[in-house]
Amino acid sequence: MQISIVAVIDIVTALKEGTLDGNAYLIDNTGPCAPQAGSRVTNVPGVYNADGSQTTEAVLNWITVGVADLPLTLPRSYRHRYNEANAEHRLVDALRKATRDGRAKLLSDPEAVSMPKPLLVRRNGAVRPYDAPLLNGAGEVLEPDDPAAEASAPPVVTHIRGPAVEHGILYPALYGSPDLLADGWYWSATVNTANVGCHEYQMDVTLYQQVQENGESVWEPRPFSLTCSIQVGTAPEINGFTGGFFPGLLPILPSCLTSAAGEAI
Amino acid sequence: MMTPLNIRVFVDVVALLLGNAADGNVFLFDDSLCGGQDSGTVKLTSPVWPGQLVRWSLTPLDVQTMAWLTGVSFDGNAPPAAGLPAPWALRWHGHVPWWLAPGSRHGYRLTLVTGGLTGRTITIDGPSLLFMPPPAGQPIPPQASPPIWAVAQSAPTGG
Repeated sequence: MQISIVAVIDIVTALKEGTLDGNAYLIDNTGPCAPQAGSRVTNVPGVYNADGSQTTEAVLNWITVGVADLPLTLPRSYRHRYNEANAEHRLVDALRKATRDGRAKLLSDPEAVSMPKPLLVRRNGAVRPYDAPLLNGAGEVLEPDDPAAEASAPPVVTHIRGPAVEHGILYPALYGSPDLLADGWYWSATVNTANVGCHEYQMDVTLYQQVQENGESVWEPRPFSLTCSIQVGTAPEINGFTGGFFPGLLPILPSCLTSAAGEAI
Repeated sequence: MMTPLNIRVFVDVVALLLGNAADGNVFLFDDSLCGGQDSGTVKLTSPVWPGQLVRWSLTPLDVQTMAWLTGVSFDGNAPPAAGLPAPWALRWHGHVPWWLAPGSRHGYRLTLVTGGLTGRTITIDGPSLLFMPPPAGQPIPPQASPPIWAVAQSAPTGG
């Protein structure tokens, strides 16, 4: 069973208050499986075989989204890539038409053809440009120094840890992702559903805050942590034909021949 | 020992919920040695032998749109009565009866439920099992009479 856990974050308030408590909401697609066990609790249905062994596996996927963020289904970079390609095309066109002096000037000042400003993000102490645009909820590119842009910097899950991981109930894994702000990774986990009960874990989330540094806007990571739980349930695997653990004969009646013997199929 | 036959049902649940037909949105495959006919379509015909274990499993194409198999019923008969446990705990495995005539084909209906017990129920008609004689070298299962429930249900109802 694939379970999506979406953390909806009020980014601006979380940055202002310095906490995700009261500013992050967990929703998931397990509503049909069991009544909601509580806020920030995800139901994980488990099923066991006749010998008590585990028969199903649950996979968790964490998705973080800002309240004012771009819908997840839109590629974050399409408009940026279009603009960049357009700017490069204009630069090549201008270079073709320019004189020798003009070419040197153009190459030394690409701003002359409106190249987009890079997003500067501090990672591991160093400020690096990222080849990812900042888009608002309408998919429009925001300037990196736009003071209203904080709400649109996507939150990033950076770690899944805590008792459920240490006790061998959650097995987190990193998968490749096209989201460059997440460094190309996203978190998933498998659940050992043999461990019935409520198990706590921590989700580490990074939000980005804009600061001014040497006259430039730099996006600083701000680490946050959110305590969540999984509620692992259990049920015996039942054969639908017999109502027990083991299979019987298929319920096909002797006289119900729907086609004559030897008829072509 | 006879190899079990696995029938894998892939379903575009969203397309079916929108009211689209099963054709082109339901894809059945089996791992029969003889090869099922119309593999990859809703009209899959799977050759089976007496005594062979048949296992159905359902996979939604969008893995996060939950759907579970809640019934497999044959020849227009009603699926098992309600009162079964949670749909994600159900498995549909059964042995092929030995009292059926070789060459006979039995259509079946798959019932699936989306989004849990309160979700929508969708029925899929079209696939069938084709009964084959026991393969060469395989022991012939004991020729017993059909069980009482089968005889009772197949008896004429009057008129």
